[in-house]
Amino acid sequence: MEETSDIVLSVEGLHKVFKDFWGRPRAKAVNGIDFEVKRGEVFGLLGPNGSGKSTTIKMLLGLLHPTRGKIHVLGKPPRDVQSKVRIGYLPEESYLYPYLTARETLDFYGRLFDLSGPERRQRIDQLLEMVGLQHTGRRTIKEFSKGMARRIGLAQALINNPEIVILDEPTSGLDPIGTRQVKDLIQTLAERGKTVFLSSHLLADVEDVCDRIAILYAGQVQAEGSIVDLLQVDEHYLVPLSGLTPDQLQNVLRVLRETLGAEPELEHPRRNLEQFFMEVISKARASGGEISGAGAGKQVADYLQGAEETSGGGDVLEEILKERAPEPSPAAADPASEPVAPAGEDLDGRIDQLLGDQGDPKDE
Amino acid sequence: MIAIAWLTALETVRQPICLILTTSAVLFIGVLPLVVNYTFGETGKVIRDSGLAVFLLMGVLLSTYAACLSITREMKSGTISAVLSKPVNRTLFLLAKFAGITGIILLYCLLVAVAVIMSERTVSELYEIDFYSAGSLLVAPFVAYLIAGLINYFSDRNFVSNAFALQFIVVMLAFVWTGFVDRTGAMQAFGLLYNWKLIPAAMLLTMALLTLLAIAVTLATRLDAVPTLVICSVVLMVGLLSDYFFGRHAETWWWAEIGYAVIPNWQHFWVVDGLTGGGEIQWSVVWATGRYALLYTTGVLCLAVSLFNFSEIK
Ligand SMILES: Nc1ncnc2c1ncn2[C@@H]1O[C@H](COP(=O)(O)OP(=O)(O)OP(=O)(O)O)[C@@H](O)[C@H]1O
Ligand SMILES: [Mg+2]
Repeated sequence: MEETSDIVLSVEGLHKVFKDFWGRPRAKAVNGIDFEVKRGEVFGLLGPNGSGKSTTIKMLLGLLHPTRGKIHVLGKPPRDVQSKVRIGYLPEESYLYPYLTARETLDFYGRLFDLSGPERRQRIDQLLEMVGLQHTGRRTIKEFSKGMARRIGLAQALINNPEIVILDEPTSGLDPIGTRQVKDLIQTLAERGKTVFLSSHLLADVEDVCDRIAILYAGQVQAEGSIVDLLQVDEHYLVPLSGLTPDQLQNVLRVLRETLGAEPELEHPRRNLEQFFMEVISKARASGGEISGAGAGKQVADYLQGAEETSGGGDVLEEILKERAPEPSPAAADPASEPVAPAGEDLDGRIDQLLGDQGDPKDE
Repeated sequence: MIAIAWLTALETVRQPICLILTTSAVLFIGVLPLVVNYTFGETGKVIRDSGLAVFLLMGVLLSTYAACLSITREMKSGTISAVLSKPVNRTLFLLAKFAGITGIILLYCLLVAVAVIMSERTVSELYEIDFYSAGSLLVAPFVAYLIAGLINYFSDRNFVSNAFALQFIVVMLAFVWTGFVDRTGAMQAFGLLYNWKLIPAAMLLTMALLTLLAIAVTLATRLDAVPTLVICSVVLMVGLLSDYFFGRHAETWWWAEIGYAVIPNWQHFWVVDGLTGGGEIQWSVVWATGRYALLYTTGVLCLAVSLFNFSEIK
């Protein structure tokens, strides 16, 4: 079963021309692309709408036949049925049976992998909890919102604990919490030695998780490389400073002015909207309120974590906030000094304002 | 691949239209004797002919619709891409789909055949209606709907599929119960008043429907729902008149010979005229037609599998 090489996906000179009924060429979707994906890598395929991302992915899965070119998935041609056991795929859009419930859907996909009954049940429980849909009960997927259906799709792609996960726009339709969760999930999967291949045009998402990317345009790879190489601006530097008194700041600026011989630019760091959104939602949840849609969910299903390390499975929201909370700097602990940017308190005040008067929200 | 067959069956019965088709077939056949009994002389034949015609018509709609639903629509909506990206052999996939729909069609055939038998009993005496059979047949679907509604209300289970299953069960119970009562309501040995000779006729029609289903499945792998439906109806029409169109020219014209061979000859399946005047359908005829249907279905499915194995999933 083990491959000798570390390359799990390779594409060489891939072409795809869509033909009409009479065999006349209609659209050149993919126009000679090459790339390789190594084991344990998170590879992102970027590109504007209609640049051939989904077409490429469908060829990787053997759903479409390439007009020209070679594809190897786990060392096999893409139409090999057995290698599918080790692949998980999230299609681009509506791909679920509308008259099934969430649980029935996952059970069906589990059966396609010949998973035993108890194993299926265990995985389904964990997956539903992971994507926050354990309370949908007998509601059929027809009644789900777009993001809820997307979450089931994601769970479906992971039911076989795949080695390669192929995700076509994994975050489309998800709320920020879901997006964040998917990004965490992708990172966890990569840490567990799995390969993730994803397509997206949401650049921020790609930037956060991918090791390497390829940018497609008009069916051709326009740029390819590791995120660090491609995005690092070598001649610029960023020096995060916190807890400076105004005097200290003036000193630093003076030194910089003397060294550079020019006026340095000074900016306050800003929290991003994602973080702000998380805090608002967590406040709202702390003050109670029934959820009819998708819950926040647990972090990552245990069986995907590997047997040796099962996480406690904390709430993703709390984890995110913990991770992002400004660490108490030594200077701030000193009662004599004044923090330069009291962003934390400021934000709390803003959230309380936004939520209106709801008694006293519990503090975590 | 039982999972796929089961899912196909489940998806099919959860469609409201399948429930509507079966219920209307049952109710239509149930009402028929009430309308017909006072107007014609040979009511038994009228009930048989029109009942079996409804059987065939609704069955054709059901099987083509189910084929389109579970194949064409699945290809269009992309559910198929998620399934075929799992370790699923395409040949088995298509055969499992066929098997799943076949299961539903068989249930339908049994249900409607029973309805026709009960309706024929209703008019077994001229100008007199047997309210035991007519009543229980007409009430059964409503009882089923009521129970399914209650189940849905209290436990939130799917109404449509439950109603379909319950309708089947309740009609069967009604059939058994009515079988034990005579026209005055007294107990009797089971099934004395039923015309069991209808069974071979119903079996032949079932075979016809399955043959048509195979054709529909094949078409659905390549065509949209509407062309599939149109072609299936044309095949049905032409096939019904196969002897007329092709049979008489088969010796002289090559095209007639091909047509005669390629289009299934539904005359083999429609033998209800043989029942008139107490006649019987020979089991040997059923057997011969069964072999014809089996061969034809196998051939068509082979074609379907080879088409499907090379088709692209968009
Ligand atoms: N079934 C098809 N028949 C004909 N042309 C097609 C078909 N599918 C895709 N194309 C064409 O192929 C090109 C690439 O499509 P593709 O779906 O791969 O784009 P994409 O990069 O996934 O875009 P998006 O970001 O919108 O998902 C488009 O020009 C599209 O019109
Ligand atoms: Mg796409």
